[in-house]
Amino acid sequence: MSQEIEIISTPVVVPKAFIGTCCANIAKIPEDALYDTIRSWDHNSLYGNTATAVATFINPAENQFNWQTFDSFISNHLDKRIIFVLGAPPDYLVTRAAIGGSYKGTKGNMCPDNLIGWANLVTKLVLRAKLLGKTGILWQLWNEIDQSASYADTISLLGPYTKITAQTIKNLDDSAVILGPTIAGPNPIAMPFMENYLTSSDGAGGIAADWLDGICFHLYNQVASQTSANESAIFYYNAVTIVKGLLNKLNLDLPFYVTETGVLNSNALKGKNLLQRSIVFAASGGKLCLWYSYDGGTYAYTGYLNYLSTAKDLLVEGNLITSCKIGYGYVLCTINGINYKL
Amino acid sequence: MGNNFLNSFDAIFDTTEQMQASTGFTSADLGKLAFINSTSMVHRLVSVSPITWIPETSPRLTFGSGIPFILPSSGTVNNTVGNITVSTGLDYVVGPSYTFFPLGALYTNSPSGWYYTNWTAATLCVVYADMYVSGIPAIPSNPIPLTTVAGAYTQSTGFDIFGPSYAIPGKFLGPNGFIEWNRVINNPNSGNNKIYNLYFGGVTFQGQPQTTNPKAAGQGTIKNRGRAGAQIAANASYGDSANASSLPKLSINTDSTQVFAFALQIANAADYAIIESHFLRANKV
Repeated sequence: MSQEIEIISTPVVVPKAFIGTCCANIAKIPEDALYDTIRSWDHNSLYGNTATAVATFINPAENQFNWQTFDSFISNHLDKRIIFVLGAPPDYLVTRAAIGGSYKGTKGNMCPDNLIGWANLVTKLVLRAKLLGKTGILWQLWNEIDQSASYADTISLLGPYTKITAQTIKNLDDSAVILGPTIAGPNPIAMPFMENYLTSSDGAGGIAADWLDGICFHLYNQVASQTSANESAIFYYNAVTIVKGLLNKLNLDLPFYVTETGVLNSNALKGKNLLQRSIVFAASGGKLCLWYSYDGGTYAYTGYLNYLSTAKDLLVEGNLITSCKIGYGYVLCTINGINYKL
Repeated sequence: MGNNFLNSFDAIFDTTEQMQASTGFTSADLGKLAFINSTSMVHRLVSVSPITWIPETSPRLTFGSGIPFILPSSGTVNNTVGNITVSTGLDYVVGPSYTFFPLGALYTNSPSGWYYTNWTAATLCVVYADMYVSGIPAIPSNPIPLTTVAGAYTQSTGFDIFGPSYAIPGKFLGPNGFIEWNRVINNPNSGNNKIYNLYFGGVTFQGQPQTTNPKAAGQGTIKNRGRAGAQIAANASYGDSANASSLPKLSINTDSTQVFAFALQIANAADYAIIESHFLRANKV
């Protein structure tokens, strides 16, 4: 009856390893969960929250390394596409006083000002991964720079940080992919962080965006008191157009990756919502939709693995999406000539 | 056919008669052009060679409806055949409409969304399985009965719910294209906010919280500023309070398909908000 909104003007080919996930408190997600990409943020294997796979815990002090979480994460996912999240630097690489309120470590929400020391640490991470048998990692330069617990420092500092980090990684592994820092959501508060970051001077005549292979955002649209929230494919599509609008404004031609998207446990339709988000992001030309999180507390989706499997089956690399109609309620899409109502 | 016109104009005509009067074309001439005769399109002749004229199709998209979109108060599902009583009665018996119910309101895990309803009293409606998703709404000729589960529901509050929603296709507007919109609203007189935001490309560009002003109508425009990625918006009010002179500056990329959506929001689940009617017209320039 309704005349749904068509968001595809030319057919879209599903990219490699489109469906992703993450886990926190286990070393590896069981085999019955089907996905292709795994992300490191919040991953602690079995070593606890003060040993998550981030720089400040891996290298808490100069010449001191705790590799167990990193090794577990890489070794357990050699058959997956890996996103490793940088940032969260060790205290010894930030000479300024702590701002406070960091998720990870004491100065983990500050930009390292010892960039040579930072490059040395990044070198060790890349080489360690290669030693474990993994190249072609997607290195995400920071988590949620609009959230002060993740990044509370001056945005412009991330320009030179981006340049030296990207150069270091690419010199060691030319198959590596450099992803920009993410924001928690493409909302009016966060988008200026992304814009300011992308246009930050790299200190050598360029801007941060010059060093990126892709940009990232997260999408959550619920508050705890609203179990239904405003789950609408229009909301999902709008998120994409806001980000694409910024890229257009800045004359940047970069693909987008959704490196976290989650639905509250209190929403009994969360599996369906995540599936719809995956379809909309794929139809919009995205490179990744990463579900948060297999065992992620209020955002766990362990009870909805059938939806994850459906997403992975529909969004296999090379599949052709020729139609995606959105609105409030359901998504109609055509993939490889077959119509789906999701 | 009057060749003296061939390089002299590129005009839009609302009627065939206007076109004949301006061009000197006869009915036979116009028949050769095979222009599209539709009430939703205007006739525009563009030159593609010195001696050939063809109609340019779809220079205007028009959407709209007077079917009400109701965000009701909390209420109770009375039985298994879709009878619902709301806690706060509407100010009249609405009849056929689309009504928003939150997740799980109608039966176990029923999806949130816009359900076809027939209001038979100010506090009572019958809900059907037909859902509005997007585009021009319609009253179903044979509404599908919905098996409901009796029980109370609490309406969603505090965030925008997209109501009537439409696509403006990428590159449709052109560098100077513009959108005209209008919507008529109705809500109870109370101290709580009833908000009717408008979205284009995911950006809220207009929205006036209403409290004690129960009925209003607003209209406005969004115009591209000589390029596809910059707009100026203007709002006029016919009863909306305090929003007559806002001039939002937008940077939506209209070279990509964008969604124009009329949203509703209530702050208190004892209130209601209605979009009584709306329209949207996108003009290619």
